[in-house]
Amino acid sequence: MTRVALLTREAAAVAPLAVALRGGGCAVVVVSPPAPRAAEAVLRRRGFTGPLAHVPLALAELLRGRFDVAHAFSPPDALAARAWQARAGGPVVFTGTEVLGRETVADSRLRLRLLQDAVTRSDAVLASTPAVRDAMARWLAVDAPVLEPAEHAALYRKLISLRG
Amino acid sequence: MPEAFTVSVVVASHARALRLLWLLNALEEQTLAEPWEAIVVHDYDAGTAARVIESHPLARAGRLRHLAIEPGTGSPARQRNLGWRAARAPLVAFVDDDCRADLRWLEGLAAVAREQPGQVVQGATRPEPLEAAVMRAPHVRTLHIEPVGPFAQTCNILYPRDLLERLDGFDERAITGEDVGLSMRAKATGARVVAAPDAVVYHAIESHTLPGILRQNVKWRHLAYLVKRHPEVRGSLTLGVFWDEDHLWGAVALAGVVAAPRAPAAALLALPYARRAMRRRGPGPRGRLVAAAELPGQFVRQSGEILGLATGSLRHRTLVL
Repeated sequence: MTRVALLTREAAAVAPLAVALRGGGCAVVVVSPPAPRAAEAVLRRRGFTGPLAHVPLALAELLRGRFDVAHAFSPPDALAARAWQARAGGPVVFTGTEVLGRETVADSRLRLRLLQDAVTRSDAVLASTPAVRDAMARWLAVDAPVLEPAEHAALYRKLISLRG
Repeated sequence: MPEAFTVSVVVASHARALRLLWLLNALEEQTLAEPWEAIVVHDYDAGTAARVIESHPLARAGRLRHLAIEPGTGSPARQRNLGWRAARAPLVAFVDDDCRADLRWLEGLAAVAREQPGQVVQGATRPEPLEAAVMRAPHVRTLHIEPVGPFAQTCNILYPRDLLERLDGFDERAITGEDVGLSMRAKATGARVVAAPDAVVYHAIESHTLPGILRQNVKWRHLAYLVKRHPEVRGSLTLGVFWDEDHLWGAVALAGVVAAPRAPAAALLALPYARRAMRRRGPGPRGRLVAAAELPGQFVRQSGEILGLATGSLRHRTLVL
């Protein structure tokens, strides 16, 4: 059974995917640790993108979970997923969920860096909707397909086999 | 019959493919009614060029061409020379790949060029307001120029093509300051630099680590070559020697820090620099606290710039700090 971690700040948004994956024989855990508020406030005051403070907690949860795949839905979560990958070796999937624009693509410290890393260093890059896909093409020069929930399990299996 | 372009926009690009894409997106929205073209001279691999340039709507509309050079063989001067020599319009506008052109940018430059034919037209360059939060980082790089500035940087400037031909373009021996040198030579022929304050580009605000900004600023040592070639630049320097006032007080502080182990009173020389540095985050207590925390890093950065310029001064036998 494939063990999948879905890293997100909005558990409700990934509920249909989680249901489809469980129906497809995957074990799914939604990783969404709370962000320490004081640390987050300091980071925001210093102009950093957010939320960021939960990233170490997300990484700890990933390392405890013995997952086969980490699927992130935000650039900071993709950072946690790649840190997990460096230790555990499993594939990382990133799904863009924002309709990017020039006003949001580099609006804070680490924002562009995390976005770029998410789309260039993940094993697969997806878009949640056609509007998100078009915005990712325009602002990140990335061709990110939109997958139906039922298609994800096959993608994970393919990525796991590629990583050996 | 090929389209007669009014303006050719020339962009030299290196290691900033994404910023270049955003510039092209901004150029796509220009309001200039007359036909114009853009030429990008870059050292990207074929895949990046295909994704960022060849598939761009401007390229599909026949308004964007690109010239690829071997990676590692480029310099701003060489790439801009290749670009304007490939230009098909009588006016050549230069913009940097880390800038976003306001939608009326080209219209503003072309209007002033029409009113004052034969002159160099400089627009305004301001820090990108969409990236204002990045200014809270300790080490940032951006530009703010209200025209007419003394240095006529190519992040936002227009030259008549025939003037570029008479001047034989940028001096490719210059590693930095090639744009300043070009404007000096243009002025020597009788051309003036005139202002187009409504032609605005927004310069990226990029944050760096301390080692990163030190590495990036190493190139400024080549400014000594510019001053050697164009001694009139000294008129824009503080006391004719220091790049700006920060460098003046930074150099005084550096002298004080170096002398302090032997003559402790020399440490007082660092006070004017420290007083200035403490004001950089505003007058409030929080601003002063942040400025105090950042002061050592700022001093290291400033010292690196000054020592880099001193190295260049030795090499080119002319003093610029």
